[in-house]
Amino acid sequence: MIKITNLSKIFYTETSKVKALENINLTINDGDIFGIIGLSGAGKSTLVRCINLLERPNEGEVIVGGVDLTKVSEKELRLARRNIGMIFQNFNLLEQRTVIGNICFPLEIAGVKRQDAEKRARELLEIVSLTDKENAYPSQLSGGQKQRVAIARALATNPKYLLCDEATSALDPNTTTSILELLQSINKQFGVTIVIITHEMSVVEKICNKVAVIDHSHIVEQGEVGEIFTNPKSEIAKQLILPNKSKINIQEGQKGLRLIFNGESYAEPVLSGLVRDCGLDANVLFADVKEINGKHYGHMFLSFPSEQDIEKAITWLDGRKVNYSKEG
Amino acid sequence: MLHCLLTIFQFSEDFIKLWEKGIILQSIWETVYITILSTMIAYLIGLPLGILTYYTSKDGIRPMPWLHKTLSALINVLRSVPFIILMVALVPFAKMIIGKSYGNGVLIVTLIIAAFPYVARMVESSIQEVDHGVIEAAQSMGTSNLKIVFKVLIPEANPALITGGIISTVTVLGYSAMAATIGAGGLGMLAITYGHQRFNDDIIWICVLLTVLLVVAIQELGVWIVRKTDKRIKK
Repeated sequence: MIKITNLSKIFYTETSKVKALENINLTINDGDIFGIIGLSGAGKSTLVRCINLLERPNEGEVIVGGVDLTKVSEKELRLARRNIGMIFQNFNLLEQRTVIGNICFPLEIAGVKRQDAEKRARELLEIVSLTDKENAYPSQLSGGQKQRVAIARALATNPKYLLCDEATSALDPNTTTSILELLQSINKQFGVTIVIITHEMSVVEKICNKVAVIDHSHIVEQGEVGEIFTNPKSEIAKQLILPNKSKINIQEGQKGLRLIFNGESYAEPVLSGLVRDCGLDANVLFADVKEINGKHYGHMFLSFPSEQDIEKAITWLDGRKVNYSKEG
Repeated sequence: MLHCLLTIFQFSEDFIKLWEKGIILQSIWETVYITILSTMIAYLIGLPLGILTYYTSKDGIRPMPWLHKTLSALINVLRSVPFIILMVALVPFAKMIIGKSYGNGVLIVTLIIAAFPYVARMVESSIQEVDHGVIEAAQSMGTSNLKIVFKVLIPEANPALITGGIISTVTVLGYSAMAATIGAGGLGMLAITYGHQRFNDDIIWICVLLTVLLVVAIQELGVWIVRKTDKRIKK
């Protein structure tokens, strides 16, 4: 378990101080794939770097596997870090080492014998499907391949936790999907708890089971992904999850309604029922459905000619399991 | 190859005389060994010093402002003294070490003192080029600071360090040409005492040419080593 309590981080420059994180409380359970989402500058990278103390927080506790990392000696911290793998946006491979040399690096540091290290590295190459690249150098690999090497390297010492700092942000959509699938299978196969920092909602939707939304140095919302996705409360979460308001374009005089589908209500043919039973003219402005952890979540923006129509629709909807919110 | 020199420079009677006395070959050899020996010893001091300067800098592995400032100031002061002045100023110091106040030994001592701060700066800037992200990745794996120096910084900066080594060697070779001032040998001495002071332009130009050849040879060797060893170059 990773437990962060009352964590604050302030950066001091010569002329000013910048609060990067303020009063952060977070619990990440073993086996979770935990997403931390926010816009650039929100403090999410600083937060993940506080988990393995690459950034030392000014206040608060970071308890990983029962040990408060802010209180241990440097040597103990180094040992604790072997249990927390990390991958980065820019891969950060050693350019002068081969693929297998890179994967052996953390084992070398941990004092594992060369032969044993290479054996372990080959196992990992198989897991990340790069067995044929053993002796290649990073400059000869594509972005996705580099990230696979980085993942193998991060897993070499059998860590219980894996931190991903914008690990897919430099990759194209297809490669992103394959890397996310790899992370998911690592989570399932080896029970590695994964923390993912990202600014893309799609990453969270694809593999996370829990999510925290961070904005202006604070965590504004956290919980199950399905819950946050269907019912975002904070302004920033709405911004990240809901489509851009300007794109929906509700016309003057018209009224909008957002239908929200959670795992159960998705199966019902809501729209046709609504139109048929109430005799309404509804216009679909936007619709989106996602699969999160095997359940379907989605929302649909409808517009109606008048306020009365909306009231009718709401009365009808209240009789079913469908959630909604009034818009525009 | 050396006999080629004899045929190329046959137009110059003075050259042939010096060649027959063995002075040309001796001068080439002196320049080569003085340069290489001085550069090597300068690296023994400058390499650790450069690493330490980076290590203690603000963005380094373990910032220690006062130590960084002291080292940096030492390097700056030594680097800003023109070599010919530093050389004559250091003659008494060199005498303490080798017991003589003239000759190749004195030149080597003064070259080392002049070159090690230069080398330190070169090493520092080479190591600065290592991507900070790679250092962080190593830290995130629980690598100790000492191991970061030896297993990350030096191997990753290797191509830049070699290039820096070549530039330093060529600089030292240039400095060594001032040898005549303190009675040391080499191509510089040859050009001054046999060329300039005897109004013998042939010899000066021949020395220029020989020096250029030496520099080109060192440069090419460096480029070749970098190309062989830098893994970032796609082959």
